[in-house]
Amino acid sequence: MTGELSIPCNKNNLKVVRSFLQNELITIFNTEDLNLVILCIDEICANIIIHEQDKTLNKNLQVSYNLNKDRQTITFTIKHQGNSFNYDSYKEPHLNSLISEKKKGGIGLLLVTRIMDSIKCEQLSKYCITTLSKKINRLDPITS
Amino acid sequence: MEIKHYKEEEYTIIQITGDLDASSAVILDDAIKEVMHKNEKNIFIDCQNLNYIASAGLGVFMSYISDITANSINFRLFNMSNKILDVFKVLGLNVLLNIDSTKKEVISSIK
Repeated sequence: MTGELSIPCNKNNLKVVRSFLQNELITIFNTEDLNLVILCIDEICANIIIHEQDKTLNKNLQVSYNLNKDRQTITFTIKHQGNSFNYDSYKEPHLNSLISEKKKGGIGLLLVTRIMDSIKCEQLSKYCITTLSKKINRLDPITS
Repeated sequence: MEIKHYKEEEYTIIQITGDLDASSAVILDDAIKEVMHKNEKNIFIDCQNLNYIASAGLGVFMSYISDITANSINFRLFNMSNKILDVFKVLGLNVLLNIDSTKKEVISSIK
């Protein structure tokens, strides 16, 4: 089972990504996991749109998923024209520091690393490919 | 997303409707900033119609925790669905912010 969506890089399109994933994955995850997985993809897309604004202007972002044959793991791929990010060097921020500094940002990736099982990013020519995977805890009874 | 805020007796209620994501979090931030500047001491956030929250939304609440504590503000969220609460729980923000089930519970907890 696979699916793909391409959207213009604009914050207003984040809702389109969430709606796409909600419709496509509703029979794969339980409600709790589905909401959290959608959140993670939303966070990665938002980071790309916000932080790579100069490179992604008027460009598209591709979101795709692939449910492994054993239906135990799902892999998401987010492709955009821009620079890759080294997730191995990512250091989790301290929540207390963010609070005392009255920061509004800095927790998106923290959420993603807490929820997803793996995340990596690679550069392929001018494209950055972000790959996330999540083990599926329980299939919806309708499809199992 | 839509934000309404209004006074009810000595309380200020901020009602959020829709999705609180990277494109809309600034609207909530402006609303909270406005009531904080008025030195409101009882600020209650009605989450009944909050359909989705991303880190940008969590970040807005997180950024006011210091001011809430320093100024002894009764800042409470209520009517939150489990789906939204789950997101607060991932980072433990449900412990750092006061989250009540209903408005009745909010009011009784501060009296």
